[in-house]
Amino acid sequence: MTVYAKSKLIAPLVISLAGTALITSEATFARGADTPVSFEGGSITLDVLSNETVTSSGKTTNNDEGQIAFFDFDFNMGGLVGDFTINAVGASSTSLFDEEKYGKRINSDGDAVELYNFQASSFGDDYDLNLFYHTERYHWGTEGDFFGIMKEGTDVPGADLWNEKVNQGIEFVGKGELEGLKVVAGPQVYWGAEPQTVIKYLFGEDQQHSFVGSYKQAGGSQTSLNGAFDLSDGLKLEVGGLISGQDKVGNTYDYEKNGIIYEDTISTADTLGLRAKLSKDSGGGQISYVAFDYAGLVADSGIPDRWFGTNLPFSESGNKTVVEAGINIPNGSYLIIPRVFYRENLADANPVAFIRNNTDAFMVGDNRAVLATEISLTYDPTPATHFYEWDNDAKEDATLAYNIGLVRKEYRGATDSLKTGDYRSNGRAAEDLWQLNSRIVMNAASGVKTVLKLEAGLKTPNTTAPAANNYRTLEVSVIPNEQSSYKVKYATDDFGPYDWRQEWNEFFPEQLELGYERKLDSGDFGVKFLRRTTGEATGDISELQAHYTYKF
Amino acid sequence: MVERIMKISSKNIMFNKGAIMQKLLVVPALGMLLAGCNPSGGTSTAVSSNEGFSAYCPSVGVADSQCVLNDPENPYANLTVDATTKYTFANAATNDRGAFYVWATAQASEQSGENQYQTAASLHALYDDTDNAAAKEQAILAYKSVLDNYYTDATEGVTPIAATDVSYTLTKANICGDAWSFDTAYDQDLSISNVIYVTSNWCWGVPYATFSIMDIPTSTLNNYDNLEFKVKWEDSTQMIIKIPNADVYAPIDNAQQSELFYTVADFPEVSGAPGWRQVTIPLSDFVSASQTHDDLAAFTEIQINEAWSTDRSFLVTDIVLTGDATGNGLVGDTNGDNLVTIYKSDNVPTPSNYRDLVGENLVEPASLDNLYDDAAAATTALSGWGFSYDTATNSLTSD
Repeated sequence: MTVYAKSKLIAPLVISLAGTALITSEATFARGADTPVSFEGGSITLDVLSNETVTSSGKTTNNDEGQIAFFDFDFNMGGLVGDFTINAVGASSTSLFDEEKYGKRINSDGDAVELYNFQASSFGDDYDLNLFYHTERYHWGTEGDFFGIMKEGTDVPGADLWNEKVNQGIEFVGKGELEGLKVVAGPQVYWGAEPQTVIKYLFGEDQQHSFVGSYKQAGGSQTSLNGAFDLSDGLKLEVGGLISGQDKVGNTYDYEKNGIIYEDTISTADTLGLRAKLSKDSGGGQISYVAFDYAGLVADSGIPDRWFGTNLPFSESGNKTVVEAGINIPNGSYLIIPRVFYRENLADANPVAFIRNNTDAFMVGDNRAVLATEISLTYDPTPATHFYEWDNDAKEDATLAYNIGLVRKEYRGATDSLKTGDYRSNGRAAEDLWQLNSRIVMNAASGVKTVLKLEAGLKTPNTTAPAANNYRTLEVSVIPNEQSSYKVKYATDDFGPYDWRQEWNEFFPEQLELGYERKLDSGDFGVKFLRRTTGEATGDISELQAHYTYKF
Repeated sequence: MVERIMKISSKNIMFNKGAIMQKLLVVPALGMLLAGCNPSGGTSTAVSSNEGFSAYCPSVGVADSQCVLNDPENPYANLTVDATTKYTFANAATNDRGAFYVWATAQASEQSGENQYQTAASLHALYDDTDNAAAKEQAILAYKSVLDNYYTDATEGVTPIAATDVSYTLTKANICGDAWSFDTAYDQDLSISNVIYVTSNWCWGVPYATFSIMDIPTSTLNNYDNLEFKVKWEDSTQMIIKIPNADVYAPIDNAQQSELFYTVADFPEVSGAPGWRQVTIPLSDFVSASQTHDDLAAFTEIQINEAWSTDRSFLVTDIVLTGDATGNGLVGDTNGDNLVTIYKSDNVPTPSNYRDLVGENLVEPASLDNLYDDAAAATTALSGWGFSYDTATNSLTSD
């Protein structure tokens, strides 16, 4: 059966908006002192797809198309300078693979035109003000936020899939005598944040100490005080104290000890946290460290930055004591990093018959007891293009650079069984998991860049009980020149896209993606083939996607 | 060492950074480390495992010892465990160690042969499960206390259903997860034997205890006013009775459905059968406003289910249909006792002395490990206490 879901090719609205913008961009919105708003450009993307579902009862095919456009504007008015983007959707194609996509709102009577993002700044002598709406935001991990209270907000494309307008808020940046002070407030200052105000104040001769706190509108706060001390000869001590989750003081909770379930009450002591990290820079890139992390039952915070691609099982949740150690061992172009990570819970998971609810003051989930050991080998003869930078795929200039990482996670504790309404799920038992990952970047003399990413191991839902998947993934990107790129991605027994698939243990025997992208003078063109086998009655699916983007 | 001074605000407030930071960070840190902060000192609310038992005092659970009331592991220490509530608590206990705390607390409150025997029996079962030496030692002391202090105390019993007319024989039933079969041989209940044991199994993605009486002939249910049965439930506040395909008007959400909730505690207790309730369900509950009683003729199945997925197994027996809905006499009641039986227990234990049960449990325990090396060693021990047990007559006497 062939179904054409929409008869229209390009919505009149998209055409009219694009046309108006193109015609009037120079005449009406020319940038300058007397023209506070200027049109800067934009893009129109047309996409088509054709997919096929094969089940035991037959074959179903579907074709669809979509149109989406973005219009970028700068402005300078009222003491604010900034930019914003308007989005317009004519139609959103229904994909079997990209079930969530930006623009899908049009299929459920959402607005055809919306403000996509907005940012504006006001610069002063004493402070700067930055307004942000759906723009990238960065964590403060390198700015004294030892507990990761301000979380990373760079996954705007991920938020787009769900039409989540994160991040939103206003930022105050102190200058002069207020140097070191930052205040961010808003309805969602990072993805998933409740309405809150986050304050950071750096102080000390080198602004090496900090106060960082977040204060939610609905109650609940995190307050930290952090210090960094250069002791001697490259020895550095970072230490921080935390008070978190005071809104939970007085809540009751259950815990098990010696086969007995006890009821107790969250107290102020359960809101306290402490982190300390002692590191030694021995020169030549050799850095060793030992870190200690204590978090009371409800003293949730953030996770440390994942330096050098570590896959150690960090957790934001409280209820833990953690000891971690590692050392960077450089040898020529090689870098070897062994790490060890040990975590115990203050209160273990409750047994199956005495479940915790998801409204309880705390739960044992990804913070469960574990002994993790990790070793990674990195070969990078051109350290100027740091191998672990987020954009190293594109920037790495070595003929050959690679890493291999292996982590073993010996979970010594179970996770809580959970109850949500009438639904109950058993938790995960103690188990051993491992993960091997590698990235290889090759730059041939001909100019062809090849990037390989391999991953293998045992992957599980975070909190529910099904057995671990023995999964493998391989991703190969070949970039012969600046105009073209090819991509192959193949996975076996891996979870499908979106977090919920992992939590619901929905994985697929095989997933294949073949892609080609071509940059054009006027924009770009791409074609992609996707295939997924389910091994179940729901059938195997495949899809061919193509898009053309015109930039103006 | 040069003391560093810094300025933190426009108000020219100066302070010693090193000293302040040291106090702000290091002192609380040491405090937390010293505190330990693992949860402790909470109030015991339940027993999650048979593992880990220890005797709080040498005489715990024996005679008039009160120390179990001070045991921080005893979830019942501060609850009222009396002749009325002890059965509810005992039924709700999910393991032998929990049952021990119930009965030992009951014994501390009111010394009796029943409480002492049940204390001993729960310790015996705990030993059987865990090989815990303390449980073994206390079980022997508690059994001996039955003989020393409550020699003449006897169990209660239930009057069996005398009916012999069985118009519908229970030939097909389903206990979820136990496909199309059922076990009516459960005889571990002290009050009623050969009851149906409906275990909680994995049904529809949740742990669920459900029992279906199937293949009831059409034109059967419309002849009767009530469904009656005895049920004994582990900590269940509600149960669901379902007649599939019945058209029940549900006043809460106006939805039409075939099942109704009933509160177990609303039904009377069965005299002499601790934990059992005598349930009467009017079949008219399953007739909607637009129907008549005769519409029940079409239905061929009755389900007795736990409410929600509470993972609580239950015992059920003496399932009968009563009440003449035809006006022409109770259909199938050949002996005139006003009961038409679907299933009934045919082996109701007669009242017996606790001392005889102690003798049996010590010398030839039916399903538990012997507390002694063998029957001879148990007999020798009994003799040392001044008693003898006759395995032929299952009776214990004082020497």
